[in-house]
Amino acid sequence: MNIARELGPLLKQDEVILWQGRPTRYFAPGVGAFFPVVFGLGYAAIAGYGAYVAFQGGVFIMLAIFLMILGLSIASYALFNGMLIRRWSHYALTNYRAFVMIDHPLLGVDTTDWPINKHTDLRHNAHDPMTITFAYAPRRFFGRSMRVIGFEHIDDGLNVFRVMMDVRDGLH
Amino acid sequence: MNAQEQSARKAPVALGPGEHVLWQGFPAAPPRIPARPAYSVVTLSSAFGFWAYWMMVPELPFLRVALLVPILGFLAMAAYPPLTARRRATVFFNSARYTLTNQRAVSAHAEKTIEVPLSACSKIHLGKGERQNLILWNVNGGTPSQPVYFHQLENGEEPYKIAQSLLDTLT
Repeated sequence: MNIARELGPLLKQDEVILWQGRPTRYFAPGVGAFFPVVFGLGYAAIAGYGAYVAFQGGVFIMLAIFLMILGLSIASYALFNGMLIRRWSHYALTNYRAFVMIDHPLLGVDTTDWPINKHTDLRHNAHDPMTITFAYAPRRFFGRSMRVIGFEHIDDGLNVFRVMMDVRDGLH
Repeated sequence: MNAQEQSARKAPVALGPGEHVLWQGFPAAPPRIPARPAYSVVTLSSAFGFWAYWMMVPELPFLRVALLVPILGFLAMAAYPPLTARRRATVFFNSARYTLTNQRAVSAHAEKTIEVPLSACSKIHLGKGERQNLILWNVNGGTPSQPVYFHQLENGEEPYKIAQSLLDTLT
């Protein structure tokens, strides 16, 4: 995906791209994956296998298989979703905004922009590759709780963070 | 909703100095709740699966007691839409009022009022579909950090355009 071509029509007249990059592609599930993985595997083992053993044969076998697939899907989603999203993501920083683009193979390109200004709550973690967070957005299926938005698992994160601080302080 | 009810609901919100109303509206239908067949199938069959395992382990009373948690939990999840969520959605639908001023977005109904002050850090999202949900929130996570939802709008484009042009002037 050509970032400059994708962003060209969206940029303001005096807006310039200061940095663009992509997250690493490693398998690196976060701490948040722990509970869904335990729940999903436990669910598949107890509900699915329980139904399978309790109802040897007959239509309930289908129910057992359905429950096992459901439990394994929950665990797989928690383990691999973050890595897949990172593999499809492209990031860009301009002198006004941060762009997060997800080039989804089935749903197409989804571009969101997040303002960087003096009110922006900029944070980074101490890991390498680094994650820089700068915004919050509502969770899609969980009502009023918010999730953190940022540039995840990027190389050279400290330099990007410095540029973002300059943008926040109006130095660009 | 007839014209009399609409005008009664259009009672003005308490405005601050320099504040004026840009748009006011109501939901065209109750908010969507998870009452689709797939939800019931998943929750009820989950309860059934745990109950099947519960039947298999009569010699392990501790495990049987532990298994009651997911069994009752999934049954409660299956019962939630018809028993509680539907009633709450009706209360919400009958009293909800959405207001957009030049300083904030307010969603008020009989049980709760939520508002978001609009600033250079505010963001807006319009959902898809015949009746749209409009979401306004502050991306800097400041207080209050909760988003405001304008649920099930008949013509969501109108408040979206008003709010977007307002946010463009603020940035």
